[in-house]
Amino acid sequence: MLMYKLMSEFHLEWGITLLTLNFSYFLFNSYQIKANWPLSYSTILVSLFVLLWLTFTTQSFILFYVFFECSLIPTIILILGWGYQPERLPASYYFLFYTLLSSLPLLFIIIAHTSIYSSSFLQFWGNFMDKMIFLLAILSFLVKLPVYFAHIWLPKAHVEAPVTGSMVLAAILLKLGGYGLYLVQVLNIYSETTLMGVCLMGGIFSCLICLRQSDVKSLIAYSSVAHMSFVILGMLMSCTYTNMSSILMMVSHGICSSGLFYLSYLFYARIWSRSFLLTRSMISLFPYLCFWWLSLSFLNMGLPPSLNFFSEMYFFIGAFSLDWMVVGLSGILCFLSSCYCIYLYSSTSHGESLYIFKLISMQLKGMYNRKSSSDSVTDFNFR
Amino acid sequence: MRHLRRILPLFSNKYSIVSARSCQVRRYCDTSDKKKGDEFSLLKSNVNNKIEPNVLVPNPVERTLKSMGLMEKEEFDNIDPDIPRFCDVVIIGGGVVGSSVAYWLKESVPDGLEVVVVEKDLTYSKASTTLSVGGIRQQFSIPENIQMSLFGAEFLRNANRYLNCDDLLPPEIQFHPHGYLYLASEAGAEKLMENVTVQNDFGAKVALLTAGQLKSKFPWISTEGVACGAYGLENEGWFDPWSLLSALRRKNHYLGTEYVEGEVVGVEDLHLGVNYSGQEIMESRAPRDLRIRTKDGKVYPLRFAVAVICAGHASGEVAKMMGIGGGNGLFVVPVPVEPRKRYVYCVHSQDGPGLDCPLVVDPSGVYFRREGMAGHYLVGSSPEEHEEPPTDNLDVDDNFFQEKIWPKLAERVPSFNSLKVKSAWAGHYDYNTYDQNAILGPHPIHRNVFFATGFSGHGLQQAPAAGRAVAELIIHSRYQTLDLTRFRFERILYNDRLIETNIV
Repeated sequence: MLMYKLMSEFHLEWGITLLTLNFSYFLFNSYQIKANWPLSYSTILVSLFVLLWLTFTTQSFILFYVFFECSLIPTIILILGWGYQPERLPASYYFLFYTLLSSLPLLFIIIAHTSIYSSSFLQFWGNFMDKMIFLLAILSFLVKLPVYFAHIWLPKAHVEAPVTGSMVLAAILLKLGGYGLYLVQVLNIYSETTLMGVCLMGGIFSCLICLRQSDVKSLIAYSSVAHMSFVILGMLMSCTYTNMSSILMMVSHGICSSGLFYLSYLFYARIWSRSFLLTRSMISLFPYLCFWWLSLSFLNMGLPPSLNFFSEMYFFIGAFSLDWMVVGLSGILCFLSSCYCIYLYSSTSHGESLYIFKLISMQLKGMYNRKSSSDSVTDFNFR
Repeated sequence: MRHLRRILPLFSNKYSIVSARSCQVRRYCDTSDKKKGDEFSLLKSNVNNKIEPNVLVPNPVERTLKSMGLMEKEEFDNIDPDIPRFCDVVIIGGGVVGSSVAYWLKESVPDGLEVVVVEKDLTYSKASTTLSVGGIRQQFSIPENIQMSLFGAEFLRNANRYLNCDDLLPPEIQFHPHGYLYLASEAGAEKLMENVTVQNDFGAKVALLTAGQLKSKFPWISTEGVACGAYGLENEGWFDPWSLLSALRRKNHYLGTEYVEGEVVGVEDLHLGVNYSGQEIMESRAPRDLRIRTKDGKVYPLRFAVAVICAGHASGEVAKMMGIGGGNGLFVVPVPVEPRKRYVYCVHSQDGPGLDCPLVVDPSGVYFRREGMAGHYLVGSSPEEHEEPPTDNLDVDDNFFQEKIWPKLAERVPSFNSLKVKSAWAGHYDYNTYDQNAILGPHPIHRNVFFATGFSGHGLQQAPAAGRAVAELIIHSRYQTLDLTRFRFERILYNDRLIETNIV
């Protein structure tokens, strides 16, 4: 009953919006991406989307939990079956065990709560004085989001997953955590300053880690960590504006992040390397594609009038009235996130043009007119 | 105007840059063997392109179950050992040049690139590196060769700084800087003097000695028929190639390069797409998958972004696997590197030159150097073009020493009249049949394939510089320290030889 009220009052159709958007990405992909074993691929993806749809629309908390856990299975099969490298094995183990172990306490809490209160929907009316139970209840969602200290599974899983797996992970599976946090309605009651500190500093640290990445997908994965810590912050502030900001951030991040993963896959499919050193100056090869890189990077960093910008604005409006320190640090967080977005775009699109794709200049100079090789060396310094 | 006509298509809206490039390339390709109306055959063949499960991604559900350990143990045994499936840079050939490229790549960008070195025989029993005499000299006639060897000497002198790993003992390269002594007869004296001027201009320290000075400096030489000599005073000499190779390999392991023991048996192209612009249809292909056969006979795939061919005397064959040589258009030009067998004889002479003996090169091509302190000398010579020995094995021909080398040796150094051959071995030069100089740089069409081969006997001394050059090309897209543009592969297409006069 309360859940239904929440959905209508706070317009929680955003989860379903996200799902639909991502599904449309998937439809586009399945035409463009030549996956091996396409039938199994489609089956697993469809089952994943069905489970996610169910997660977002179910009225019962137990069912929400069940589908939340079930969505792990198709994702693991995607990573293990279609992922590229042998490193996908530890990546999938990290993913699986982080999620399972952190959500087991939540199961106990649901069962306890249901047996005591005979209602499957968690209501924290301030009866739970034990901080530990509070933490355990939200631990699962924090790991899924992820918060900084429980984020290690994310870069591994994103890098090793195939492109569609990465897109679904980034766009929707992370938001399951945010959705769960919103449902549990716990963060409004306990103003948890430790968690605020962890989110702020964790976000700043992951932005700085982003700037040191040599792998394109890894950078986008760490940017998810930074944005999601912003989401937790918004919910912690327990203000309508900041709640709105979290929701908007989740939606916009879903769009940007999955778009960026797809774009990085387009480069990977041509150059077969994810390293920044070998995927650079792409603007000379794919000029129109770099337009999309630029747009998505701008959307990611919160350039007006993107959704990201509105979420950050709402956050600052709400947070200014509450705590100056948070505003200052989250301002640094926003600035650093634009730093790595610019780094991402400029490294991949601009930069010295790759030798491995340089234009053949001998046609321009005329092959048969050359007399000696001691002629100008500017041929191969052609940039 | 003529240039405008060629550049204009690049700026016209109809063509993308990539397709303009493919147009330009096509113009120089041989289209006479294509039938009219055949241009659309490429398109047609792609329409019914079924996606076949390739060896890289077998059945995913099986793969999942296997990796979770839920399938039978026998299935597990078929999974490959530590051979990686994907890498950024693959270096074909793990000798000194290959290890040098890997070193410079990883040194500049430790985690930025995944580097895999594929070497046929990790014991290096037949590799040119370990069978080499180990000399290093700056006495070349081409300035770039001089500079490369100068850097090689500097690398050897500072090997402790370049190749040290934190917890391990520093490497010992055993560089003996005793110099090279090139002797010239009357006929070659002028060329020698010219070369010495060039060498000194570029930083080498080579002294020109007259016959009298030679006699007083090296009394054991007979200066009959010798007009002058060029003696390298610094940075020349010999060193232990095996030590350099192991030091490089150890440093590479430390930096995270992976060495794979296997032989490259095939290279597959990745079909990138069909560019159809204007009237020309060009299929974009690029070499992408190596097929490596390990000792147990199984063939494993390895997908790479950039390949560097440092396979020494087998470079020509490896390049053929990539389609370079024997194809259409520009692919008809092969990498002109083939093996040439060279013999090295270790002789013992009681009254030989002694400790103050550089690596002496006679005008006839015979060379010798001191080995150790007990009166051993390494002797060798390059045979004439028509007398090249067969290269299918590494057997030594003793007659070659008796007939071709000993007489000239005894003429030059009378005390070598009595000597005893202690042992001998043979090794291969990666001989560049075009102009006996290195080939460095990418292939003009397969731009993700780099060459660092064809050194024709100078590979060991030029390895540090060549490795650094190729690493700079891959990472920075241009030469930053030494400009080795003249060694590019295109010189073969331009019919432009780089003639080096001082070859041994």
